[in-house]
Amino acid sequence: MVTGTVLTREETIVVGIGEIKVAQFPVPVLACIGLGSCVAVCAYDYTTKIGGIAHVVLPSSSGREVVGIPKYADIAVPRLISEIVQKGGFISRIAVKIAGGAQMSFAPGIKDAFKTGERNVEGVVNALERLNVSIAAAETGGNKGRTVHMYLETGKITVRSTGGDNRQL
Amino acid sequence: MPEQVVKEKKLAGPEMAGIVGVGVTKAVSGLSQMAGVAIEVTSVKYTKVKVQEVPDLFGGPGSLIVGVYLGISGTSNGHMIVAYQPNVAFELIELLIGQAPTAIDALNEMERSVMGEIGNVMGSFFLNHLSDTMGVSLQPSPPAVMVDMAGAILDVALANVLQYSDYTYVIDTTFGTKDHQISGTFLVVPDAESSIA
Repeated sequence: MVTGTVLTREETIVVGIGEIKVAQFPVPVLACIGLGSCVAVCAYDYTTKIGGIAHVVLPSSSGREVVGIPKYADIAVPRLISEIVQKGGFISRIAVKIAGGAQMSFAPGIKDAFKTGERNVEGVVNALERLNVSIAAAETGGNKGRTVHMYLETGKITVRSTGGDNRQL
Repeated sequence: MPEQVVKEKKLAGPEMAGIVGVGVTKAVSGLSQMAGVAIEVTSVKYTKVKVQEVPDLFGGPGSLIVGVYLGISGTSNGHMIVAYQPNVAFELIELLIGQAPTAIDALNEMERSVMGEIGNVMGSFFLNHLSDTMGVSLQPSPPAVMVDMAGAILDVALANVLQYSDYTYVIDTTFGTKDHQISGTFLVVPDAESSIA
């Protein structure tokens, strides 16, 4: 538990839009802040306490060559898992939880034009299936932003919706 | 890919700085006419930033903002978000209906509609200027008002940018009446799948 520990902003590693961050305890926390249609893919190895988050922005690279940030689900998900394995994690021990993929409340006329959130969740699910990694927990959809924290000591993941409380995923 | 560069230039790029500057001035004059109060632009900054850093211009990805979203369609398709810090939105609403909201996360229908109308007027004036200057046709969609974390509001627009570039252009502007300084941030992004070179 992290109860009693005062976490300063410096101790939290923020995973920006399209980024992947992998760390091992005693690094305390990884965070994805203000997810809308994006999906936070959180992977954690309970034995080595190595965890990582991929902040997925788009469902599929459609075979395009990707330079720069690994924003697509089909690129980011395998890379996240392989970075954890490279650091000493083991694929069969990795638990994956996902959050995000909201449909932000746009005007009625343009709502159907982009179901980016829904498509991102699908992209992540497909990418994980290809790796034979199952999803231990998920909180997706809805129309509010979310902030996700991963506590690397325990693997606990919390999700907070805009205007709501922290819930454990 | 050269084709994508052409697309990006449709609505954003260094050569757009002058047009955008005047566009913002026109947008604020639209607001001024709507409010019946003299409002002047005090600064306009048009900067190229990394997509990951865009939420920081809106107070950080987790900060609560009021965003007015307008889809752009016509010769080019794209997205436009005009965002205000909550205290600024309060001032704008007070300026227009003479009464400030009680809580930002519970804007009533009237207050939301005021914010939508502000976005609509500013967006229309801005796009009209771009259309006139560039000889293209750009129309705004009806406005959608969102009160949420900056990161969440910006996601869809930034997802579009990231399909062709890790950088984008953002317009940071301050304007105000003689009593109030108001600042707002405009994000105008072309759609990756938008038409033809």
